[in-house]
Amino acid sequence: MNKVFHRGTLLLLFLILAMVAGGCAPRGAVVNTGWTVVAATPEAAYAVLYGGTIVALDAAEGRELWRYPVAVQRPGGLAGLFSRPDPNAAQPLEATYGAPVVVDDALLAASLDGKLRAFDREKGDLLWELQLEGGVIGGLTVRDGIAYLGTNEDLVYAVDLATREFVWAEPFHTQGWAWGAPAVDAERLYIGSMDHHVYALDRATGTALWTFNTSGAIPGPVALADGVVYLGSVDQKVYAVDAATGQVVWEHSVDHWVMGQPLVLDGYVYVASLNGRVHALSVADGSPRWEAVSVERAVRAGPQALNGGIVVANEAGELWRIETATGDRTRLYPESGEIGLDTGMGAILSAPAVADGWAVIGTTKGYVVALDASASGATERWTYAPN
Amino acid sequence: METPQRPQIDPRQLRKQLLTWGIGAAVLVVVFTVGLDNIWREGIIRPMLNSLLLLYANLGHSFVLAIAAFTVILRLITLPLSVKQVRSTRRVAAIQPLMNELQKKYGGNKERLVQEQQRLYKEAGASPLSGCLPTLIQFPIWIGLYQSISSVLADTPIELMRMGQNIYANIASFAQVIPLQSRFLWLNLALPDPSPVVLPILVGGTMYLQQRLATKSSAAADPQQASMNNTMQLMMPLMFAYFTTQFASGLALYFIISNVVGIALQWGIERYEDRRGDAGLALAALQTAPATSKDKVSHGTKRQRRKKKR
Repeated sequence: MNKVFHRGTLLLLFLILAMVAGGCAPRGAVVNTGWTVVAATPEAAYAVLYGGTIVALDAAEGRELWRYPVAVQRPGGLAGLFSRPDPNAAQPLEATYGAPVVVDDALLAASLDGKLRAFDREKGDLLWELQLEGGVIGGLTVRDGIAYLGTNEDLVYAVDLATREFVWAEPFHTQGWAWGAPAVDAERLYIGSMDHHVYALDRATGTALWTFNTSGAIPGPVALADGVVYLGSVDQKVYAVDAATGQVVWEHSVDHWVMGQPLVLDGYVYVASLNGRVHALSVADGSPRWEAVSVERAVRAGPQALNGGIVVANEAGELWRIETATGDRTRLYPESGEIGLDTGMGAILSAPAVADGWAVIGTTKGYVVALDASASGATERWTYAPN
Repeated sequence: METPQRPQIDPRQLRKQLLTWGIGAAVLVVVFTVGLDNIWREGIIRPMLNSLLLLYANLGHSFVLAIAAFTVILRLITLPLSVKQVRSTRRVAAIQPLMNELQKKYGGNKERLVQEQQRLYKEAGASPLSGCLPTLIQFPIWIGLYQSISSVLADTPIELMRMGQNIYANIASFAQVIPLQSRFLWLNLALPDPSPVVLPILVGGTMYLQQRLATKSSAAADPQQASMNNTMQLMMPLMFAYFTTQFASGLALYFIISNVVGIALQWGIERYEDRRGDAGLALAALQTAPATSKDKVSHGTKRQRRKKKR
């Protein structure tokens, strides 16, 4: 009797422990929450927060204009273990890694569950959603009313936003995950893949025109300027490839992986590598403009242009401005505190959004920070703290 | 009037004690100056992650083979600990009858009982806790391996970035194998088993077998201890089977391979110890020993006893 009771008690304890441990376990492989990604217009900032909630914030004060979903009631504590979300209620987006895109009156966002969604930019209502095969990591690029995007099921899609129909007879198949948002010109689409290739596709039919092979995976978006495609790779190189032929124009070794999008500005291409160094290379031959500049901590996203300089965010949650002519660096955010030390608001792993003299950054803890940009620097306009 | 006798200090014991304190102080200094995070990253995560990548690159780009080879290497590195664990378990089991006798003899005098038990453990060269040490040492390995596997099988940009930060950037060949092939049979190794019963059953089953084999040699004479062992034999596999439904299947594969290798090693060490007859020696030596501390008959050190037997 005692033995049975003893075993029964232990079994009960085990079940409780397993449930608690299961709830607390670091289920990195199961749960993806993404990072905060932002888009900006002169009037508002739009952010898909870490965790999947979308907020629209007033540009002047950071006041919340709307959020999606409106309310998510999830019980806390042990009750949370037994709760099941209402399947009919609006749910936050699954992990979102690509920046939302503003197209006319709509805000488009694609997430890891493979859904491309359109929201009313004024009210935040979900207008429509389209299911793709595979999750979207890299976001989307829109041109002439057509959205182009790749998935982690090795597919590239073209979606007509007016009809919500696929433009091509079938999606284009790469040999690996397509994580970067494509670059698009009048006739072609260019997209990098984790299979180490860059593909140029016919925009109308989705057929491959050329492929270019690097020695490493291409996890970020490619950039297109003046008939040349620029890309960074895990093989620690930056490539310039002729957009018409797929022939390499030049390549330049940097000292670590490049995961973000290169920025082309005034005859130079700027890239940031994962070891926190920013490089400026001539578009003509890839020669460095100045010695690589350190921003102290790892940089995931590419640089952005802001008031004559470039800005780069790092994993400590800092935003740095680098003068394009000299390579001199200034920390814009935070304005005080020890350099390179975590700000406590999370890392900035997505690219800053820049619009009409102001910049918006989103952190992995869901903070959104707006900065007023000036020629000499920037000042904090407001900070939105997640609930 | 008799002057109190000053306790004799064994110089060897003193040296040992000083060495232990010195190592402890050095470890504390290193932890405070370098930081625990950095020690963990540079000492566990980076070596593990890069070793996995190196094995993957050289074993036909098969992550399962890489995990298998990695497990075997880890098991070989920790082999001395495993041998020690088995030896200690067997010694504890061997002196169990004497322990029971002590229990009967000094059951009413707890203090004396503890003294006698400690003396018995010391003379047999066994410690009831020494069996736990290898398991404790393996915990950081498991946690490090979990983090390494999650990072190596990066299927999101955050995990890829973590891998990039932990990779030895000067090994150029790593770039060619990233991202790793995470497909194996029906599994995506970065995600839990979708079935979701096959891997949990295999993890639970192999772990049960391993534990069964490990505790067989210690076959506790104490019914309470035996009951506890039986319960643990059931609980641990159940718990790990449950965790398998939550964790990346790559980690579950590690558990299975590790358990299978563990079973083979356990079997091998048991055979080796049987031939060596160490546990029998401990018992034989102790059976002739008086069970009271009044008789201060020394049976020599372990080394001396072994020499005597030879």
